[in-house]
Amino acid sequence: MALTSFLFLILLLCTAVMYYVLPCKVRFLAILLANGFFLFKCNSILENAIWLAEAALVYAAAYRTSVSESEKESRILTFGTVIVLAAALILMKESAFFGIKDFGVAPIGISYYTLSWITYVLGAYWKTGEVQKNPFKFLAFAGFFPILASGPIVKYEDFGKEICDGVKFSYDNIKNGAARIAWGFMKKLVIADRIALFVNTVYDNPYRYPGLFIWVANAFFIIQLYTDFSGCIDIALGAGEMFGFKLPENFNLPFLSQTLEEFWRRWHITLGGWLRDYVLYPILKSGPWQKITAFTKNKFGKKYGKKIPTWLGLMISWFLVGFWHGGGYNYIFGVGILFGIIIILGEALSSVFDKVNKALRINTEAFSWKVFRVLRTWLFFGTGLSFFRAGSLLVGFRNLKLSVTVFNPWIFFTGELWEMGVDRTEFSIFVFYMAVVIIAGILRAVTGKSIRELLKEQNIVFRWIIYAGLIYSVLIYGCYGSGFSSAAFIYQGF
Amino acid sequence: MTREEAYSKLNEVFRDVFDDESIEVNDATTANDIEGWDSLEHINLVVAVEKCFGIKFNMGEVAKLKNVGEMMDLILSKIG
Repeated sequence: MALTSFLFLILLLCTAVMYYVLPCKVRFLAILLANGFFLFKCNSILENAIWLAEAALVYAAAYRTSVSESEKESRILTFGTVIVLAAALILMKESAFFGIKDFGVAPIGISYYTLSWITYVLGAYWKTGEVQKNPFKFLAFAGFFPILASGPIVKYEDFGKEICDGVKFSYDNIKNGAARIAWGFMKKLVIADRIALFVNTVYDNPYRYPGLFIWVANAFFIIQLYTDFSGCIDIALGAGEMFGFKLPENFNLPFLSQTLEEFWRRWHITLGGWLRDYVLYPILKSGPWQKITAFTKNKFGKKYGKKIPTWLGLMISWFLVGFWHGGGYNYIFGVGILFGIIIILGEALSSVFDKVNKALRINTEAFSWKVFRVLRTWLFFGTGLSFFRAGSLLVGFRNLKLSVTVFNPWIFFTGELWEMGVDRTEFSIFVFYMAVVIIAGILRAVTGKSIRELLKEQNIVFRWIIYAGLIYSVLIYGCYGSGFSSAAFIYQGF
Repeated sequence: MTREEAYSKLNEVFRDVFDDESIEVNDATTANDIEGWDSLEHINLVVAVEKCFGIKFNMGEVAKLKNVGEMMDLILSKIG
């Protein structure tokens, strides 16, 4: 069940009504029921059995760990559970890496809930997270349906208490949640699914559409991926808000980043944060790594000696970012190792760049220089993404070659670009709504407030004109498939 | 060890890790106040603190620290 499907909206509405009709204490039952329905619609019986078995293991291990007096028992339970969860994820989702054909069996959102559940179990072991003793309340949290399919990756502390104790009815929560959902629908159905037609046409046939076609398609793919994924997150977070839960944000205006490193702190934030806390930090803090650090400090001096082991740890994390996306080498290279290399090179050569900038008398405080840095970040990100979209590493390199060996600037004048599935009218709609998203982003960057917060400060008439416009836009300009369901979210595939 | 004594030791650790003799940390100091204290340098700092005080942080604690005050509370609770 896609988050943009009609069925999802019905489910959300019914759940919200049931949730607020029930007394606070038992409101989690409404969520639990909806979780069950969502899982039942998305998974096969086998997948549901796997999901439930994993959930039972996580619940039992965390509960036992929280009451156990024996450190050894807690440790074995915790790390045993983490290994089982990770192995299940790798086996069912990343098997491509080992050259094994996909089994075709994987509970929905396994890439997301696995990470959330690992956080939960480790929190119990480290005594830094809360543990839910009631198994039904745990299931309401662990399977919270709006975030099952594509995240964000959550901690129990994010909304566990609220989901288990129930939240008082608030008109503002409903209204703001609904507005955010409508915003997400607009991003996904009006922008992402519209421009996808162009992207698909080029990527399905790059020999016919080489050179600048690929550049344009790649630029559109960046927009498509952002509006698709962030739209999906808007819907999930908006749904959470309707129940009074504040889920963690996954995006923070990533396209204003001046460096690739900054970009990744503002794009898919919960994945980056998870890898930092649960992969990078433990690696860097481990005994062997400390030994390497001591060795490199001796060899290369304090400054670089400290950095080399950190870079090694970073490369492992970047490998895992790519690996998490599906185990294919195009992901591991395109959205993993390549970014790691660019970021590390940037840091290693920073003193050289500083000298060059000085020699060329570049004013690094100038607005134009900042714009250049932002555009450069887009180029890096876009290059990596072209591998993501290509489907395989070889195709990615072939497309890259086709994009630089053919120079065809006339395509901008011959009208060929209008024959790629998005004609002039469709393209104007796309441009208009992209402008809306960009203006909203700029307003947020300047005022520090989201578009919804800004709207709250406006008069009720103006506010409702905007809300109505948003809903009208989705209904009229949304790209629907059969049965009022849109194309699947890109990040639902992971 | 009093909080003041612990702070003078902690100051030394900060100065050594960030190569800056002018650093003076207090309860309210955060990563934003000290140049070079990013998510990567954080681990080097934590390891240096562990060594200096002869304690161990678990990874959950490492990721949770919000400011130096919290770090100090944790240090004092560990050295008891």
